[in-house]
Amino acid sequence: MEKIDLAAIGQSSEIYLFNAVGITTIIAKTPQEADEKIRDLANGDCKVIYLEEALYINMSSTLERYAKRAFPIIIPIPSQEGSKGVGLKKIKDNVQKAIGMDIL
Amino acid sequence: MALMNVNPTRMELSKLKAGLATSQRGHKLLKDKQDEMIRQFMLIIRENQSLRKEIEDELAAIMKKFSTAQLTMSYAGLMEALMVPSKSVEVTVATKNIMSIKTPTVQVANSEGDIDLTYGFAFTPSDLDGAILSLSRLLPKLLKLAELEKTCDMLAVDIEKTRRRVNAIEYIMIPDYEETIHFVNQKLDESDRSATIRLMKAKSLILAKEETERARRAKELAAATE
Repeated sequence: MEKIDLAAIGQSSEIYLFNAVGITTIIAKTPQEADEKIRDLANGDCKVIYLEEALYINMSSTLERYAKRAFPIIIPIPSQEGSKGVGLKKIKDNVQKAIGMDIL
Repeated sequence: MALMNVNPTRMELSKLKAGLATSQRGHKLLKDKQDEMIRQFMLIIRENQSLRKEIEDELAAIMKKFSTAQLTMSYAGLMEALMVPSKSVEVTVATKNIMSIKTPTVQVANSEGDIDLTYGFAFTPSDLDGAILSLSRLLPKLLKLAELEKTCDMLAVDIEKTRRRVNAIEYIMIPDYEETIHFVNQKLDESDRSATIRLMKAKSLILAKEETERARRAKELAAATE
């Protein structure tokens, strides 16, 4: 398999837009499927994985697995329906965790 | 708070005092580490927040263009246009050390401005071109966002861990040491006092015995001289 540095995982075909700019795109309908794909990508030394928000919120155990490692970086991106605020909520949660209260 | 299970001896007392000094020094160091991590974290998280908002807005605009393109052309045609990447992105990655946490850095290795579109323009709408060009311009920011978010995640976890350690030392370990040292000091003082009292008692007993002996001899001497 060719080495993949950047990947984007989404539930529907709109994720193929990322393919046009050189990000490898993968369709995963369910979180379980996405989990397998992420495992393969991580084993293949993938650096950054952009994961659609709808999948991201249901994959806490997968994210936990890579939390302590610097790579792969897995971050949520909004889908075609627009942002559900997952990314911003994550930032707020981090502040809460680190400072003890949300000061942003 | 609880007393430690130690014998109240001078040896233990000096060990406990050394332990207390070490934990106070450790507490100060960890507290400093925590303060510095929070300072760095605040700098990064603000940048992360503004970048995240910017990217979500831009991605929403790109997706809107893409939806319009999807409506005006067939699925097969769209897939055909998108399946050939216009460039392959290569990234260089490294790790940066922030307060002994290894955080990632990501950079595009081959960034040469705008990309060339790889499909014919005859059957594709201009919205698609716009969406792809905007997304390719957004790519460095997307990588920066990944780097910042991961750094924030790792820092947040480590700050929480350090805070727990600082609190454990400050509110459990140091008070335990202090209480135990106080206890051992009191025990030693008590045994000192009891040793002194024992000596005083022994001395008074001996003196009393000597006194009666002297009185008896004086009596005998008086009887002998009569």
